[in-house]
Amino acid sequence: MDDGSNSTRKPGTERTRPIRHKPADRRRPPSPRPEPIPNPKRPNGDPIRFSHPAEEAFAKVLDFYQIAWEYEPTTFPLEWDKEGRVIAAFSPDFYLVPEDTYIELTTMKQSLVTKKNRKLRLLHELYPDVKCKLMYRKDVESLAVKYRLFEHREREKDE
Amino acid sequence: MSEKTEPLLPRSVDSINDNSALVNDIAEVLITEEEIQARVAELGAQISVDYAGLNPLLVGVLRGVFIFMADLVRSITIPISVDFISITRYGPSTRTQGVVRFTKDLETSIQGRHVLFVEDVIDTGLSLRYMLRSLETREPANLRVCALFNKPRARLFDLDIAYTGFVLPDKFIVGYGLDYDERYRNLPFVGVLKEEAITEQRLPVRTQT
Repeated sequence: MDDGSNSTRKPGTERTRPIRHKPADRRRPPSPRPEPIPNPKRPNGDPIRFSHPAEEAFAKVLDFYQIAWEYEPTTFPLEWDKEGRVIAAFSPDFYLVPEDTYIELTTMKQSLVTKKNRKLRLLHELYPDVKCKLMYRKDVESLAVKYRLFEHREREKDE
Repeated sequence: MSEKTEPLLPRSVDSINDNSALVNDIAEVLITEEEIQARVAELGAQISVDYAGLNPLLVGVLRGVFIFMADLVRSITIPISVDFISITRYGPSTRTQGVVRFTKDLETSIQGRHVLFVEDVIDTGLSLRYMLRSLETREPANLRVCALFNKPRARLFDLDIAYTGFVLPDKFIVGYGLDYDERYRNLPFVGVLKEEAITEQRLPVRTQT
């Protein structure tokens, strides 16, 4: 897992790696209790532009079960440079209002989610009161099977 | 007078394997019939102790729960009442109908009753949450949940489950009341469905980064 630590390197690869800040420099928040940043709300009637069809399908499931949700309502700063500028942040896809829980859908392959896992770990470290659930591709596919989310797409394709 | 017949023997997985077309769709048996029956008996015994003198109302969610409910109530040794509810599930046939709704409501008032909500399987928790919220407004004395199968990895938010039979991985399981496309409910064990038996629900290719 990429945690910024000086792990054992293979011989001959020392000079090919990019120079990285020490973890302590990169992660230290400017204040003991970092604050999440609310994202601007969309004007009424402005349709949401989901970044993946799975997110749109998930939103429809939430609507069906009458769970109030918001799309990417908050950005959580995770890393800062020495000047206190945010250099890494995390904006979970959904916020389930009545459950006070964030949901991040991952549609990447499992081998590519290391970065996202790290962000989630940092989120839990810096914002211990925030509930956030990461749904991996396999989890999203399970949802797709359970609720047959993309069946209409297959039908449309066949037609 | 009718002739006496031999009592039915408990069916083993192997004996079913010989003839059942349904079993051919099963990749692996997760929980055998014997394991299910043993655990259901334990749950029934525990519920009998916990609800002694309370005359609880067991509320089952149709349709998947009917087999579990039938076995569970027979393993409970105290007086109980039983009722069922049913709701629409999200899917191709309901996604255009707006929101979830009851298709069968309780026939019993639960006000002041000790209610045990009985589910076959809990995964995302979406439908359970909806039903619990609805039942809570009817002011039961107590409302708790008993689930034979729990898939906590799939849960979207915290839910309090008082009684759990088995904790399962987030795989698509069928049998013992659980279906896929209304099939496999009558398998006496719980198995993982083969991938080729599932209508493909692949994630669409990312259209925007």
